[in-house]
Amino acid sequence: MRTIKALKADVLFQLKQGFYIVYIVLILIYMLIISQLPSDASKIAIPLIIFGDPSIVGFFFIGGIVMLEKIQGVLQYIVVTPLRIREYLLSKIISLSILGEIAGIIIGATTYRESINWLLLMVGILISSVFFTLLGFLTVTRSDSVNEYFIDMIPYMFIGILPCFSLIDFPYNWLFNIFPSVLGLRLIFGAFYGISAANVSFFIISGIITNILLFNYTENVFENRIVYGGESK
Amino acid sequence: MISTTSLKADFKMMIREPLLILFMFIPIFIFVVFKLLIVFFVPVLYNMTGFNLENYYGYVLSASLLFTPNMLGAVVAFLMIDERDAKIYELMSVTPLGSVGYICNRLVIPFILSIIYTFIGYYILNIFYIPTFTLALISILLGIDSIIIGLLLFTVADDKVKGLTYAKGFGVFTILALIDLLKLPWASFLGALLPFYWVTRLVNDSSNIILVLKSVVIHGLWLFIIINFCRKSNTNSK
Amino acid sequence: MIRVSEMDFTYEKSKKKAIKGINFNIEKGEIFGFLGPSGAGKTTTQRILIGLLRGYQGSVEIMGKERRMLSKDFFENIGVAFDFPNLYQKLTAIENLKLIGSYYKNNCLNIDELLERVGLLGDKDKKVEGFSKGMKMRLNFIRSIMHDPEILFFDEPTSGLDPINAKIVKDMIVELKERGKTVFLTTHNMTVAEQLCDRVAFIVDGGIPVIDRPDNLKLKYGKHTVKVKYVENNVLKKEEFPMDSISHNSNFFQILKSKNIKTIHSQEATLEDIFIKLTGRELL
Repeated sequence: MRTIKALKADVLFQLKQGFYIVYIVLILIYMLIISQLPSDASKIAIPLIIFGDPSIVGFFFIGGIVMLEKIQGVLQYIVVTPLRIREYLLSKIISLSILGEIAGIIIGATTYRESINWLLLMVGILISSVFFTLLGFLTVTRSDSVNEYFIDMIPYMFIGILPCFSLIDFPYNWLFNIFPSVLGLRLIFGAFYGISAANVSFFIISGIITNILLFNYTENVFENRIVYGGESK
Repeated sequence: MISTTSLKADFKMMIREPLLILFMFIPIFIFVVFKLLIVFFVPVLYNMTGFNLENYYGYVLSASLLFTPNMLGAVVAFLMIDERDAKIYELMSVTPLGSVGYICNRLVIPFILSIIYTFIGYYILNIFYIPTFTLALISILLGIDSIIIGLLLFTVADDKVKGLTYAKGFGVFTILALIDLLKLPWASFLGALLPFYWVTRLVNDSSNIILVLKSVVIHGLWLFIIINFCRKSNTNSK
Repeated sequence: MIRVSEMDFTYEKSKKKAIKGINFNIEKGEIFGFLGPSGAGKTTTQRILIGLLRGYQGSVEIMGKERRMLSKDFFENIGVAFDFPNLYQKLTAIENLKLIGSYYKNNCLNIDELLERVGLLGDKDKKVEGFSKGMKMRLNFIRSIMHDPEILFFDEPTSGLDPINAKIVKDMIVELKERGKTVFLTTHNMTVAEQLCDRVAFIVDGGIPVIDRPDNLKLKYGKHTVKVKYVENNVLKKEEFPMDSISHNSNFFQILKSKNIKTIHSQEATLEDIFIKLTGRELL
């Protein structure tokens, strides 16, 4: 229940920061570009764009949001309310995932001429969006300025993006299927091109497990660094 | 307006801050990545699809050259936004340097670096011929672009989150710079309103004297507009 | 309500004891003032009580339970106003209150009434970023009491406020006490402490040398003299007389009768004088 309240706060905050308007403009541009591509190219470009922007957008924005809450002191106040850190993280993740889902669906619906497995697309966006937003949380616990955030992002970026090249076939590339980013990308591609039921269930379960583990870890790190200011037990 | 001691202090701060060093090397890194892609990826692409990217090397060069000023402008804008969030900006505006001097000092760095990186990038990529005079002009125009980006971002974004949001939106500028590729007259017209578009035109058509004049005028106009816009919003709110 | 015994605290980074075995009790319905110069341990103590610092030694009991054992639900029962107004700048006053208020189980007190009381009702739909420091502090203050908590932590509640608004906030704190709330007030403003607190603790270098009622302290450490200023041959002169023997001090009466008196003051020590006397420190 508190999470819903926090979600309301986050959406209001993001609305006032102009996220949605900027995002609408970007989506329109994507739509324009995709519509100009030859249909062979657009078949590959659409899933890549959906993965490359809507499902990663949280990584980009979460740093700014948390830093601003730190500077304005809102975060300092939130920790003395009954709102749990878990709920705080969750509401931010949900709000940014919703943004990604909506953007992804709009891009897919307006540009792709053949049928899409919508449920699969949404699950794929969700799994990678949760993952990238969590990476963003981990990044921002260290940084106090935007430029610092960009630098601190780099290692996490590697963790998130590099394994995605495992989609290109090479021996043992399935080992990279523990990375939710890879799984998300595979599911998104699956939504467009089809994917076996066994793979879907394996990818989803694997993605959920990794994300939950990462969530717990993030909650711990966040609590130690932000709430308790780095002082241990 | 530009004091050397303050410049020196800025420079010291950069050296002490690993992030700024990194940002100074990332442009080179990007050029190298572009070059590697061209060397290895273009033949593969050609063999696979029959698509020859070589016909578009002017656009590739322009895109990679535009990357640096856009990024450096944004980095400096974020530096100033962070400093404004931390109230350093206010402090500066009551020192003899003044807020205008402060902004100028901050923007000198991306301006100069953009000029240098244009040459470095041109020679690293080494894919498309531009006469030296035009290249020099392009480098200055790109320097101005970095100032435009920096001032624009600093002025429209009143905090970090807005800054990030707009920085994301600024990705549109690069797309608009390459908009001729889409061959849509209305879209090209839209692109032509922005200075970045003219860099691409100039790269592709480097000895057209009318084009040279047009791009200089457009850049001058934008610089003038942005500076006034920045002044106005500063006197209104601060 | 709050019972602290032999509490020690060391920051990991500095390895230096920030709090050295302090003891104090705060009863329900009491306003307890925590006074000291910056860096003495005021904020550290407050953060331990609130639960933002772990790893203290000794015992901190709040509402009968050890602090480290309390869950997050504890925050339902406390209200905190930091000395820095930490508000959503882009949201309006009312949005700020409603959003934070929604995190509590308790139904909020009448928000409009609270806003009215601190003179912000007319500005409730304005964005906080346009507020003055004083307006932000007042909003910050009512946000901490709107969920009707049992224990309140106020850190410099009147800083940045003009005298009229400071008076309003002080009156509200006294009303809270009258409704049986417990108030932990951190400040270095001795006047505020003197006006509000039932008892005050002086904290210096992580220790508490004195805890007492402000009037007791004044009695104990005040000078009990009367200072008379008068004009003689166009020169302003002053003389001091001990209070306890004043009724038969002929010199005193002589001056009263024959001189041109300018002022007469009894010399009670202010809390600030006592603080300096007891701790050897200025308050900064």
